[in-house]
Amino acid sequence: MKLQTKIFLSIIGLLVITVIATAFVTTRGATQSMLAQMEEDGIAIAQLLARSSNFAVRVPQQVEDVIGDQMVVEARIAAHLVAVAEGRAGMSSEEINAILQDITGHTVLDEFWITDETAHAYLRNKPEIDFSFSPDPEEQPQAHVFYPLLSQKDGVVIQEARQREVDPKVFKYVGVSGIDRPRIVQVGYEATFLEELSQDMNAQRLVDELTGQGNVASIRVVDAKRQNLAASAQPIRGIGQRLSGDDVDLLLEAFESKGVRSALREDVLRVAVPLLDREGEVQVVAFVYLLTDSVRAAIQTSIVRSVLVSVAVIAVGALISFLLSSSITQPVRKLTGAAQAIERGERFEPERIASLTRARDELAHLARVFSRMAVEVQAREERLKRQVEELRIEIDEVKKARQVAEITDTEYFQRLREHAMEMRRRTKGE
Amino acid sequence: MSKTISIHSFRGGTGKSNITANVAAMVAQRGKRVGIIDTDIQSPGIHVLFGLDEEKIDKCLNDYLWGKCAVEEAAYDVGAILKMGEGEIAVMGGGLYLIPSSLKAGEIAKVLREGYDVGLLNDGFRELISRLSLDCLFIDTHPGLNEETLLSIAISDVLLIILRPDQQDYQGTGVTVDVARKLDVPRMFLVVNKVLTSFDFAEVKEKVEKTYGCQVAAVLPLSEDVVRLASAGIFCLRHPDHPFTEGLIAVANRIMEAPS
Repeated sequence: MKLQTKIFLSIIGLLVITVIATAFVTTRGATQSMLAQMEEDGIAIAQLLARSSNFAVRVPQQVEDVIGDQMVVEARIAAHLVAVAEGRAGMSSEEINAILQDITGHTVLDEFWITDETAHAYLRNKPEIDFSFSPDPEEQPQAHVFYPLLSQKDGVVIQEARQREVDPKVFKYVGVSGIDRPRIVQVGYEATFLEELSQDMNAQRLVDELTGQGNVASIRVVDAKRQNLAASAQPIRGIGQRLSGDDVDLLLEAFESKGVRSALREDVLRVAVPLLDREGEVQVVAFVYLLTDSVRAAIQTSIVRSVLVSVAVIAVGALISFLLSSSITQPVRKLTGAAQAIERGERFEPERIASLTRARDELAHLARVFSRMAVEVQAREERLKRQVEELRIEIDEVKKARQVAEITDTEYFQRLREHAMEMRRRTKGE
Repeated sequence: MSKTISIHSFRGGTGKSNITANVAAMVAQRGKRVGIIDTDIQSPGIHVLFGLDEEKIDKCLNDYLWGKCAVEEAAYDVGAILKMGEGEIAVMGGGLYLIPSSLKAGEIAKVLREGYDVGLLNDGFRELISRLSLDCLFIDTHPGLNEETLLSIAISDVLLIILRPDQQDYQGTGVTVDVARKLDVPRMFLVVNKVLTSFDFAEVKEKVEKTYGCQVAAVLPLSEDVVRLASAGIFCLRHPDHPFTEGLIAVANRIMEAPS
């Protein structure tokens, strides 16, 4: 592989790795932060729901307690009224009932039931109904709790608002003991508004309003008994209509840990937020299902963008690395050319690579060393050539002639020469 | 047709014995039967190159020439004991025989001076050649031009003169060339040895040939490797691809050429 290609591929390789790694990390970071943001939103919604649910449970109870206290006052006043009217004023039962009817006719109080020692309610605002209290719970499931007042002094019974046995109306009853003699003094108050208040305060409406808003697919508010206080009536795509095993696990975790829990499964982020009472016990858990579609779309957009940017960066990088690699290898090619010229036996001209020697980098250093070396080698070659030219073979001809004569003039030599000639003749002849 | 080759140099230390041993070994490797006669009496050393133990030499050239023994008795088969490298044994195709010289060579000179018939000596050499069925007989001569050297030159078919790029060698070689010409040596080659590698060998060859009017068989480099091996073995067997060996191959080729 050519050096230029190697350098080019190395730079491009590094660039591609860097760009892909950066794009991956950035996209991943964006995804994480978007999911985290979504989780925060889910937590905020769930907390709001949890609070309002708790509120809805608590407020109607408090209102009823206040009303109950007021009704005790009313019953006590009625007990005194009856004692004064019968004992001091000597009023007849009819006259007293007229007063009671006047009160119920002009105030929000609905019923008076005042008995004698036999628990017969001879004083009442509704003369048409003849009623006696009984201690038997089977006979009177609602009213029997007031019977013990007959034998008590200053006894008080406050009963929760509930649907009456005789009709579907919701009533609250409070009774006290008689003042002048054993009696049951009971007042009744139609408390339908308490039901309405409870409904007004109910989280269900908020749940239904929030469902479908933004990313909220479904909401569920669960109490400590794991019963739904509220749940989306029409969840988006039916998400969360039924509690899956994972959902139950997440709920249990939230109950046990008393902290926020969340889980991402497929394209739904589920957030469970518990709300604690003053004692630190979990009262309700709000469970929100959030769609991650928007996050996914945002991620896809960011991936497309990062791919486009990466391609652009790599294209620019390729151009730059091509220029860089050719700028690195160009001096190498020139040096190679110069070396090949020397190899061919051409004379080396330092000016030919002078442009390469000016920089301060390693290649320029190589070029300078090469130039010096080539000049040196050339000079040495020339010196050697001269040395060979200096190989002079000088023979002293006079001396040589004398030396030859000293040998050839001897009798031995003459004889040897003759014998040699004779021998050669003999050899040839054979 | 057998060949007698004399190897000569005007002065000692030219690498004459080394070149003789190497070229003879090469020719033997080519399947020829080769004999080497050491007449370098003052420094007889060629047997060391072939790893021949002096203790084992009891008969020599002189003994044969004086009729004291048969020619086979003075010839030692050195082809079998040659070593190439570590543990490798060179296989000499035909055969390689060394006829070592005696230190009593002075007596040969005396015999020669007293009218020894060169023709008879030649007959003796020819007998040696025929007894051993030699293709080539190499004569490693003594430096300088004394009488036995002149004899060797006179009976040779080929004369190889070794010289170094040295002023004294130039002068002496000039004398030898002229003397050899007067003796009508049929073929004569120069070998320039121990040439610095910084020289242009082609130019050296050209210059020497021009100076002496004689062909240069090879220009051999001054080689550290040759010095390192010294007399421990036959160089061309140990370093078959060495530039020095390449030069020797050229020499062997020239010797084996058919006479023009």
